[in-house]
Amino acid sequence: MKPSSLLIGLMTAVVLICPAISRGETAQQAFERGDRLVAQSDFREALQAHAAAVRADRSNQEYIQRFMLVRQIILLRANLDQERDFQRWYRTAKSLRSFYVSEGIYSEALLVDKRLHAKMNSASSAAQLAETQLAMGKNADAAQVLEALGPSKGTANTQALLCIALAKQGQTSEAREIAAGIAPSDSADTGTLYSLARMHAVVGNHDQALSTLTRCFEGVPPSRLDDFRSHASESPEFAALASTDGFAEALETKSKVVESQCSAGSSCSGCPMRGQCPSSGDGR
Amino acid sequence: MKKTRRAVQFGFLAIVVGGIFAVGANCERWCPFGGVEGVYTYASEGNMLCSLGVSNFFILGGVLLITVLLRRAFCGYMCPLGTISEWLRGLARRLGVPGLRVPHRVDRVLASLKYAVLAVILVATYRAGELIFRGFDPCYALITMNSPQGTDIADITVWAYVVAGAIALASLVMVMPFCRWFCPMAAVLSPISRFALTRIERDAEACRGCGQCSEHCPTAIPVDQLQQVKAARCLSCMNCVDSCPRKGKGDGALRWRPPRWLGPRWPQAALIGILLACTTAAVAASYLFAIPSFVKTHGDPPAEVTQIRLQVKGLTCRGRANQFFYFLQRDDLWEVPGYFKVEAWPGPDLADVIVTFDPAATDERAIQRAITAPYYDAAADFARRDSPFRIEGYDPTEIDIDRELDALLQLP
Repeated sequence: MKPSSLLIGLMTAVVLICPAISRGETAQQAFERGDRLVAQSDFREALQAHAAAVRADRSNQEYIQRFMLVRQIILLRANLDQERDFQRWYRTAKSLRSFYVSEGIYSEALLVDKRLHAKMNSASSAAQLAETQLAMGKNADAAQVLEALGPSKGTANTQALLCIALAKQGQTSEAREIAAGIAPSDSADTGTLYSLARMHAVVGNHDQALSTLTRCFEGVPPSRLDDFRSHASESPEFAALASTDGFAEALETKSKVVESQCSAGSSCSGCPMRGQCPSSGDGR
Repeated sequence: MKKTRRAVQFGFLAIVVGGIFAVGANCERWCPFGGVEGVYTYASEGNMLCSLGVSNFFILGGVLLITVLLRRAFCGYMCPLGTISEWLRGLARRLGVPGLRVPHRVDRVLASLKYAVLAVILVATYRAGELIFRGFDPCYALITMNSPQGTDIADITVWAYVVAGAIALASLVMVMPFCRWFCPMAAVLSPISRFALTRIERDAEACRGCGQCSEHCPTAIPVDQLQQVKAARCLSCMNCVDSCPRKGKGDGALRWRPPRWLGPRWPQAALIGILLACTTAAVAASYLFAIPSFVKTHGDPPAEVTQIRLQVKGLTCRGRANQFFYFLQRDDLWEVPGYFKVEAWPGPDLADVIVTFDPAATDERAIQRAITAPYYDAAADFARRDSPFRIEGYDPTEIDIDRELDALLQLP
């Protein structure tokens, strides 16, 4: 190799790795810095950090996905203020909320939940907002949102969350009174059952909490069961039960749901599983 | 001929083993039975099952042509399972392991089981829309564990090893038991083989009736009692011709011959020539006619379209190709607007993909971005879907976020 070629090669290498050298950062360090910035809601800086991680290790799919995600979040945040079409705005808001909650950025999730509830004013939007408020320790605010629904709009889920909010504020007798008045219907969804299990746990109905949690886990699809288990084992509402054998046993509950084999394609017409699909003929 | 056949068997086995272990090739794509399994889905949807390719059809075509000409010579010369099974029995015989003779009637009953196996596999595959039995297939287990996606072996069941062990054990005491009784590919070939053009002919006057030919037939055809061997299970292995004591004395009692309208006789080397020619033609056709194994279209094509050719990592099978399509169709900010069509050749390492799109509605960067970026799935309670795809040569960090934001703010 000619000395001049070697020199050019060395200079190119120096130029390429210069940004990393100047920061003294490895790809992993840049990635972790990016995540810290995401947690602080500094998305522009986080994007730069994640870009540095990708440039330092282009083979790492996790770095690429993280970079693309942060880039998308910046655009979604901008779009939330711009979008005029309600359906598209709703999808943007829900996507952002999903991101914030999964990252534990509850202050940002709260802002989105408030806007969603202002537009929807439904039991589910109230429950979502109250969940975020409960996660932030804003128990009084959560109770206020849920009480404002009134008896006509309230559901077993919102009542259970109200009970949790009251119990966390020390209003135990009111909470117990609400808990005594709620009985899950046979068709209650897993989200409602989970809230009811948490409710029973905070008011001290431990047996009912465990039996409801077991019933909830039995109805959760296998692919989502680990998420529920992880949430339950970290949930402050189950703290008093966490060390008991009954809780450990409930966490081991197996799903009784046969998961759909639907590939979520755009058309059912060519799917060979269509004959066994419960939702066939829904025009998808 | 015996040595020549061994050499041909060894050659094909070496190609398969080398392909799996040395090259790490997607050997599933070269299995003729893949063509049988995939034919319904391809005819009805235009897509191949799992990681099969249109090459499976070309190979199947080559094997069917071989069968039309040479009976089940594919089983006797090319199939690695047949070769291993036959060699195992040969080894056991040398070690003094006695052979197990199955009565003719029992053999006939067992031989019909392969049709049931074929029917079950085809019906179950059609109903499931995927290669549902591959977890039981010892060949698949071998291929998958040694391919680039070797870590993804969740669908290999313990039955694959049970089946492999059972075939190996049975092969020690019987000649090619799986091939004769259970092989679904043999069930496809046998009806065609019955009407094949070439056959073994016995000259009754020259025959001494020693029975050596029947003794050496791996599929237990009573050659010494027939005038012409038209049995569907004939492998054209020439063991009978080679074992005839009259061989070398004039024409011998047995000879391999084409139909009369194709001449009086062919040299046995012609058999090897036909085998190699059909196989080479099938492989060459797979490369010459590069037909995608996955095609899917979104929307109506405009008057003018543009194409982008991509090499994509992570696009390993039909399911992933569908996922690739959904990433373009995504229901969020980065949805690719207007018409687009995906033509893909899924593969274990890099897959070739052609995306045809409307240049008035979108551009190459938007397509690359849509394929590689995660999205929140409204159909699954806004669960995040990370992209498993990486595009060769595409650097997602080469962006100007301010320009993207400006473009976004100009949205109607």
